[in-house]
Amino acid sequence: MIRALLWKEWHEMRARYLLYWLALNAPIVVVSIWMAFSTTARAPFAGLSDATILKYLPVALLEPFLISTVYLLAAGYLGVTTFRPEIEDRSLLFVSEQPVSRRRYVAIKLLFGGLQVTLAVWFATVLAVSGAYALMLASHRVTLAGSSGIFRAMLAAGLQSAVWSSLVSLIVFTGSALAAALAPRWWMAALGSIALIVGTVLIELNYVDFIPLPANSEPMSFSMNFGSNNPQWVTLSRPLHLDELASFGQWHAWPQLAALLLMVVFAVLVTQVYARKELT
Amino acid sequence: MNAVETDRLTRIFGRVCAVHSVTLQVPEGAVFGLLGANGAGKSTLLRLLAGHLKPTSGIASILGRPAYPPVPARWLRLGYVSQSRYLPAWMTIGQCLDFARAMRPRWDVGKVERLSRRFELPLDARIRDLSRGHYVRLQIVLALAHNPEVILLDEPTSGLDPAARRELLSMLIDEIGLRGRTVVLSSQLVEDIERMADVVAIMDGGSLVATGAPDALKGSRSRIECASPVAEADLCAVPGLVELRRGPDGAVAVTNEPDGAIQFLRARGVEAATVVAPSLEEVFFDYVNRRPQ
Repeated sequence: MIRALLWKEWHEMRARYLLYWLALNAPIVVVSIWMAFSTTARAPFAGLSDATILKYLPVALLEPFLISTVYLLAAGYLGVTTFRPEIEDRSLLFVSEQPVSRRRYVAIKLLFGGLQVTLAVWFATVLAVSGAYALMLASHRVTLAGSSGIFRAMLAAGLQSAVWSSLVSLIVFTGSALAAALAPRWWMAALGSIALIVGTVLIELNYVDFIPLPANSEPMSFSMNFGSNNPQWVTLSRPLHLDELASFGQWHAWPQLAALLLMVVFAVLVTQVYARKELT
Repeated sequence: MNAVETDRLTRIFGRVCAVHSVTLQVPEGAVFGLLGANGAGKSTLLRLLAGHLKPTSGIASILGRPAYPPVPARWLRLGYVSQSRYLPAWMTIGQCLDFARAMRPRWDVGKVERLSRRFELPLDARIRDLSRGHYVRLQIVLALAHNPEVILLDEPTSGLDPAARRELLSMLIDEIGLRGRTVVLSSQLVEDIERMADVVAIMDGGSLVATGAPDALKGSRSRIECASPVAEADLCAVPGLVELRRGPDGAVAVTNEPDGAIQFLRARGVEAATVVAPSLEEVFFDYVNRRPQ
């Protein structure tokens, strides 16, 4: 029975899952290719050595930040479309006429969708760091022997931040699913999802430090200079230090626990709403 | 024991009362026909019985348990053919049958194969591409595949041409009628109901206006044709009078007490009064268009 439900879910959602994976990962691949083939784009990396790799490799950590903010729209889309099409075309009635509890059906959908969100987030985080490092290695001034430790530290920081990125994405995914369950029209569900995303980002930016620099550390600035006359398209005032890097994504426990709790509450509410939902 | 029961079942959508205080009992093994015009409330009543809709008041029960809230295990004993299309459009017929088979432990593989052959179901065709005829046949296969004890059929023949309708009804009678299952069948076509049902209920404006065996219903609206002139006062006093019509050939009194009416008229010297048995269709129109006050 569960295999059949998973089969149905995969068939109905695979295009949307692919879209989500592409949204998170395709920009990394495109940027990597662009940088690999464009001299201008490669310029900031060209002068890097084992000693200075910490100056630009942390740029790859922009990906978890984007996942926790801009890409939440994609998680919201996935949450709404996991449930809304079945309500709109009324095929939820067909499932309701099978001897399977709606709670179980909804739980399977949430778990399967949540797994896709989590995998895509973690994969994108690893891909961004690995892609950036591969480009640096390709410049031949950065060596594996001299910089693999920094890469590992960077990867650890990325994975650390992926915990938060995936939790926030899951909040938006389950919250949007709840909006889809409650709203009588798809566009209302979409509006609900967007409101949830805006609220999440505002809370996140106010209460969570993405790069919590130590109080006595040297200030760091970041500037971007696009244009053909300026080969240095991105400038960082100073490299990060390893101890600063270790703190990336290392938030206090309470926001993560609160996020986990909120995600569980949303998921339980979705199953409850569907269990009692009248199918008109 | 009654397989299907409702007690003052009511469902209101906004300001529209789609089903109004319907009380009915369908004994096990009976074929119960719901007859009504468009918008009479038949589909809503069946959706209430299926547990898809929550009653505004009253209760519906299937096999001794309330239809709402829906209990998944009930679908092991219940089959439902809806009037509307909601099977997943992207599935092929084969995929749809395989999916339903995985869901239902009592799936009768041999029966499904036999029905699929008899219904000439194209297993590779996508559901979105199916004609109304094939779609209904697929729904019927899905509804019968697990040998349910109760089957709800919501206008299975609507939208079919007369030949397809006749063929489908024959198949339904073969597959359902002879096997002693409880069936609730709705239709706006009197012929369909008359062919299949043991008990007929006529719905109008969300209410049940008449219930009984087809012959009993016909008896409830007998026509007394009076060839010779009859005094107005006598006609109006005919026992069980439901309606009085006057035509060029004389008066017609529609009554639910034909024997009493004949005796009454003959006692008043009206010898040229005869009882004409109405068809179920005439009875249906009597109830639906000219309900007695």
